[in-house]
Amino acid sequence: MGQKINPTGLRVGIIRDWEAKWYAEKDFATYLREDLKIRKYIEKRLADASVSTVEIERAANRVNVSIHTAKPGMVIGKGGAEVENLRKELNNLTGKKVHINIIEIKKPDLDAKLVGENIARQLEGRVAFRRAMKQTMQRTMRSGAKGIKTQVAGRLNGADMSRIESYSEGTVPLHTLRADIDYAWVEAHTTYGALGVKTWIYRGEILPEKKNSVQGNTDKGGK
Amino acid sequence: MEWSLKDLVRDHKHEPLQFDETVDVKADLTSRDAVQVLDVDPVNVKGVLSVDKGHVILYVRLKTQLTVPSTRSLTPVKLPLDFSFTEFYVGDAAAVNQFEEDDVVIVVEDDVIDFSKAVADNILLQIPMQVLSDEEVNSSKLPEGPDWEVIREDELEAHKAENKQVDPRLAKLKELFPDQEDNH
Repeated sequence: MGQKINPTGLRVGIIRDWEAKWYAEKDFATYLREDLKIRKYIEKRLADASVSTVEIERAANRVNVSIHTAKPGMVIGKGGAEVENLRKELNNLTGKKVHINIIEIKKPDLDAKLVGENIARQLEGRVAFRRAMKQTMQRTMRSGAKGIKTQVAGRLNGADMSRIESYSEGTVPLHTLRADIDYAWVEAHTTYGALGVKTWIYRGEILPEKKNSVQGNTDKGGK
Repeated sequence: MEWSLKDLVRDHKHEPLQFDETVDVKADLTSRDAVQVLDVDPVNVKGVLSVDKGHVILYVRLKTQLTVPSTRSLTPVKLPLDFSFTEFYVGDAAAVNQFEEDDVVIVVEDDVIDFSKAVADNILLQIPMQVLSDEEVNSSKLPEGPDWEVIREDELEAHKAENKQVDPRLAKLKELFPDQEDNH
């Protein structure tokens, strides 16, 4: 099952957190639609800003949007002009007060979305796909990943017939739930059409924290 | 700079071709990635090209300096590059399977090995996803404004823990069992 399913979805609630953090009853549909609008708008507007994830939190009439990016400069713009405009647009879009947190990603080479986007951008820049995939994978492994798998599908190097090529290095245990696997799918738009780029990055295991509770000690010691 | 695969296989079967040249790839790189590449110095390339079993092995040592925008402030940053790469060129796609998984194997089209493209491609691939100026690396101050701020990823967790509040509507539940300590 782990081989087919989206690795992120499989791990939500186990080792991964949700990207929307709010609770609603009758307003659920409204908030959900609003979230989708916000995400779509940010994805389109910050397409070149290496945005990995967008987290949305809500409290009363306020929306906190956290944008995880490797290039905060592209989000902020010169003198903060871009982010100010973005905030105003989001205020208008939601009708609520929006606060924006820009989170600078420490190791972008370990983020599947950013690695996939990097490969896609190289393919759009006419870099040979084998060079792009191999170099990017080496960089990820050097950054401390335990494993990486990349797959490119479509008319590779402009060939008449589309095909799929995939490469992997290290291990990617897709069915192990405690394995921190980041996954992303992005598209590269080349002159020959769209190429799909899938990336899986294994960053090591996330083990549960031990509870130091009195209850736990009593259970172990017996009565 | 281009070579014919057939000519190389014929002429350099027993003796490798050595080269030490300066290549200008500025126009090519800035047209291919104008956002990331602001300027490129002439590239010094030293290397050896040898022939083995009908395919060509290219080993190159490359030195240059790029000007790229800082990912945090967009100010131009000088990025010196000094790296080497090895590539294999084959005439037939079926020959790709003979190589190790780690090898970069390029299938040559129309009998032409495009060396300038190989240099340009490898330079583009060497640009890191995060580029900071020396000042930015040493500074702990991050930009912020009204209703927006930049946070480092490792500071985020601490920030979250600080702001963690129990929903006030649930706070009264604490009064239900005043004699029990919160163990979790």
